[in-house]
Amino acid sequence: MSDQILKYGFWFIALTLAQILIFRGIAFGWGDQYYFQVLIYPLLILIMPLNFSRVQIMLIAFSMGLIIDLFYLSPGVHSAALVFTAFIRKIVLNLMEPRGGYKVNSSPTLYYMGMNWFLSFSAILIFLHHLVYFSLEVFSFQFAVTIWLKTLFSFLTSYLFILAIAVILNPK
Amino acid sequence: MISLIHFIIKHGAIFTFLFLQTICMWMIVTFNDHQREIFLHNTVLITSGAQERISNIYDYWTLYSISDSLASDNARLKEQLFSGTASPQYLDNELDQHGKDSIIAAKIIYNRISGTNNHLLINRGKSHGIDRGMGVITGKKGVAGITKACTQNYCSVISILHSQASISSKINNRGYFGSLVWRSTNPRLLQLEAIPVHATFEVGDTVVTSGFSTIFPEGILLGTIKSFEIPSGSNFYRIEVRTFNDLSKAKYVYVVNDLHKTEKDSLLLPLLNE
Repeated sequence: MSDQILKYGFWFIALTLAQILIFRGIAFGWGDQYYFQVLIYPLLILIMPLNFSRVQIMLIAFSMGLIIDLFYLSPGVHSAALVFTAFIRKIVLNLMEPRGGYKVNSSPTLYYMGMNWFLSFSAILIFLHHLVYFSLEVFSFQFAVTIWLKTLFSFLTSYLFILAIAVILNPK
Repeated sequence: MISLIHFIIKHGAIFTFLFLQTICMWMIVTFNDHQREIFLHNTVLITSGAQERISNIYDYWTLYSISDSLASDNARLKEQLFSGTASPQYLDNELDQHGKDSIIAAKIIYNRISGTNNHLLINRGKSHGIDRGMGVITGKKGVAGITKACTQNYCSVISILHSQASISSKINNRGYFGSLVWRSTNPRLLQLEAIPVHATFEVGDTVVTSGFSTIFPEGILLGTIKSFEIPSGSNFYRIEVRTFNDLSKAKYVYVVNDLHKTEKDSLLLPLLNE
């Protein structure tokens, strides 16, 4: 357990720093809206091991969201989206359970579950994360078109970056 | 009770989720300007009907003081009429000086003075000729705020007790003008800013609206000067003004619609944008 804490502590810090220092600067759009944004930090919630309880993961998500919110100057927005992602992860995991169930002490990662499974698993969660995040950022369903455009465009860019990280670093 | 605790433990994840989301939502609407604006606007739209019903119930208890204040208003107008100062010619002159304002009476159905950014809700809206950016006064004495968003039958009003509100005003009979803002936490204490240090005035002088904006007509009594000082190194006084009326007790207000507003703005706005 203690080396797990060390390992995911490292991922927590690395992903937070990468998001704040590098990916926060990558934003592209027109008008006064940024339609292409890159959010890579949900990767931590994706790869948390199965033996962590849902409450633990939500608390981790909340603290990570708060730190990122501090630098985005948007208290609560990232936290709410990430807590939602952590909450919905369990439901997605149950829906996508392979025949014979998950291996004991494994994680829902590329390494354990294979390319096809991880592609769809991460796509669902990252898309939902972006949808909640941009709904809260725009905060009005009067601008539903803006929400959907931002979600779609940013989902594509974030998804590419997250997959690249997952393939290159291949966390267990 | 035990089964309730069992229930909470069994569904711990859902309760943690709801708890954390509540904190997040609170932070979102408290610390983010954009989201707060939308939230307040929507609250006004959703709750205005209910607020009016609640306010109607409370009205019965305040009927006496309301009729009292209306009677004293009437008495003041009659006094002017009988003493001859309010002859028809005089009224015509007044109208010419002030621009033709139309006044619409409205009732406050929601009023909050506890925060730093306060709002009111009044029961008149677009169908009564009110739109955003009009002044709201509580009578000859006192300003309530400026209308912000209007639906068919209701308007939300940025209270004078709002950190962003600022009212162009002057010291009566001395001519120096500045802007009246609210920086304290006391709803009866406002601050008059931008009065230069060479101005002369005394504690107890009256502060009135300047009439330089198209929002408020000239000469509405705001309050008296309570104290003043010159902060070291500053070229402007810091003046504390005690208001005449207590906004937390106001029940009826008047919306001032300057009928020449667009005409004046068409000349003024290009200058401001230069």
